[in-house]
Amino acid sequence: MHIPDGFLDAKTWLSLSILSGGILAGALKGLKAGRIRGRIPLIGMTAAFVFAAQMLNFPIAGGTSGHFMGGVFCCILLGPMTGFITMSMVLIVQCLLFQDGGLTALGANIFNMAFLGSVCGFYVYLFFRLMFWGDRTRPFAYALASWFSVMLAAAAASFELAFSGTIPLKVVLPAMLGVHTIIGVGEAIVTTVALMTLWKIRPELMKVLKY
Amino acid sequence: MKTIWPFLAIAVLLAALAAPFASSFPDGLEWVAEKSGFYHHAAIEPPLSSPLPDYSIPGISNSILGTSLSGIIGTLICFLLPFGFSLLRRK
Repeated sequence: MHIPDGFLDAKTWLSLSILSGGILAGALKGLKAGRIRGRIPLIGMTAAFVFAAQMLNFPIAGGTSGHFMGGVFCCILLGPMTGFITMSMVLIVQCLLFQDGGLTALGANIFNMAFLGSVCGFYVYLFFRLMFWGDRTRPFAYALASWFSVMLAAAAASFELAFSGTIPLKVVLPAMLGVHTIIGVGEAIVTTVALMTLWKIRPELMKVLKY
Repeated sequence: MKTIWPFLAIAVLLAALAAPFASSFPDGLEWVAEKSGFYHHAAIEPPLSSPLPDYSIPGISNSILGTSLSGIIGTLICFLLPFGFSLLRRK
């Protein structure tokens, strides 16, 4: 769902760049050194996994494909603030080094995938954890939150495209939500399997971080 | 740190071995753009040219090898960047 250059008009990409830049600066400033001390290897590992997994496009019906986004995965392992910074870092590497996602759309992509898809997805997860607290129902919270995170990012991208005057909202929103309903199922499967596996073999990595 | 190595190895192996064989169909957004007819908006000349555009390596014409190597490079950069940031912050 990386928006390329040219899809967004100047007012949209400029305001989203300022917004995302501001959130990122705030998060970096708010990140106390003590909170990540000893967790740098885990942060690096999570970023590496998200980057690698994002390269693995899986085909879905009708000649289209989807790939893992990883926002909820990232925030559950690292906490929302560190998770946001880590997702932004992956998006910046993809944009600058590999031209995956436009430079002008970087702010929009960070807002959609690292902020809405990750941080908001994480709070959806916390909400579902309240509903399904037991360890047996834990996978449902992972699956629902990660599916929602993809839908949220897809909806935001649609609004940005419509706001740019690229395409009317009534055309783009149903189309984006439709295709991402299926891509979100892939996201839910990968997130749930990855987190449940980690939880089985390395439960010490899985403490819930609220910051 | 010791617990991290196996997971890093998995990430590098995914990028190196699986990424070249990932689906090359357009992703969700590109597909919608093609179907709804706004794909032509995509900038032909990007404002910044990346060193490894579209996960290929200039000079390596074999796309499987190019994707595999750029996957390894990107994965390792993502792994190492947080260490770099933490060194900067310590000063």
